[in-house]
Amino acid sequence: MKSEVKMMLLRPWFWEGFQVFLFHGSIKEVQEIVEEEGEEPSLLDLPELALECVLERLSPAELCSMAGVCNSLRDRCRSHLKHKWGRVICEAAYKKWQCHIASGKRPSLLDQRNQKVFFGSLISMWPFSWYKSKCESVNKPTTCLTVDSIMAFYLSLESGKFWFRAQVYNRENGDVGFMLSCYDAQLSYDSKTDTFQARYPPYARRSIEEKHTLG
Amino acid sequence: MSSSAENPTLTTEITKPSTEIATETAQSAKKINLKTSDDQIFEVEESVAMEFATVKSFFEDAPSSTDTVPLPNVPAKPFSQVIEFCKEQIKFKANPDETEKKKSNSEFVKEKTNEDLVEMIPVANYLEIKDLLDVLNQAVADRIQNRSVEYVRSFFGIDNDFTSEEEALLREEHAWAFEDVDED
Repeated sequence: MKSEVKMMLLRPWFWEGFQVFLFHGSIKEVQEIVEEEGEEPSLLDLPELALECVLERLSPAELCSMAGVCNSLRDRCRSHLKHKWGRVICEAAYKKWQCHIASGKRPSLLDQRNQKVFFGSLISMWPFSWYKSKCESVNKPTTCLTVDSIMAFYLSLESGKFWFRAQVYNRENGDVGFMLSCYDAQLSYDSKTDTFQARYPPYARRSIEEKHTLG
Repeated sequence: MSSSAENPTLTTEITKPSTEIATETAQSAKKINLKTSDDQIFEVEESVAMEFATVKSFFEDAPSSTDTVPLPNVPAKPFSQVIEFCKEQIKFKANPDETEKKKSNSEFVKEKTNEDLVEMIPVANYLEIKDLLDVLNQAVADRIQNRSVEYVRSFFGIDNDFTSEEEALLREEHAWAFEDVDED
């Protein structure tokens, strides 16, 4: 079924809070250093808007890579993620992410064996598969992401491993004309096609591929 | 649109910066003198100068002004390249051909060094030449694409201000992003 989807887009304020504890870069210092060096033209000397435009054109993987260049770019790349996902991710999705972190932190992969008895009942319930997918996404089973990092969150979203709740609006063209329907759904993102997959709880396991372009 | 814009010999001449205002400019209303931050004076055809939104609005605000237009934020070197770009653009305005335009744009950035690109962006930004800004931003993004952080640092004059601990953490977090990059 082809239909247009609009998503309930959600409170940006959570990002503000989220950023507060994640931002510890010092842009000022970076700029001072650059000014002292003087001679060579630097990417960081570009006008704000121009630099933003350059970053906009980078792929998610590139953005993560650029975040490793220096503090200033790390902050910029992060604010880009905020720009891309800030309007989509709601409080519920963030809480779910926090649950992931919390559950992930208790038994680490290494001491999982020792704690198995203690957490026995929990482990059977909780997203064991999530651990696996987390490792797969870095193509390195030996290193897992630092789970509380914003980049890890971003990566989970971008890779489509993380399903979050959202309201999906369908605009359908039926016999009676134009119809608008609204469902609660679980969404995951497919970066290859820039679309979302929606899973609707009432029709268990039924997945519909939906088109929605992130603005 | 000035007909002389299509004359290649004439357009070549006027890109050359001259430190003095040529006396003949007084005779031709179609040329405008633009003075860069390093005191070079460029005699540019009006049609080219009108590509610079900043210059255009300068003349709209003061139509009678015949003096040299100062461009305090624009150094001569990137400016001459910007003029080169705008002259090409004007040809496509008269004769729209998207394929040729794209080809010409990619030719333009291809021969520029990273330094050239980074120097031109603020000029295009100040002069508000949207097409050029788009082309340059894309070109810079393309050059960053799939490169190591070391490459990005050295080619774009960025200092590594991470502590070694921070860097190790970043590498661990984004191990996948550091793999399979093109050789520097």
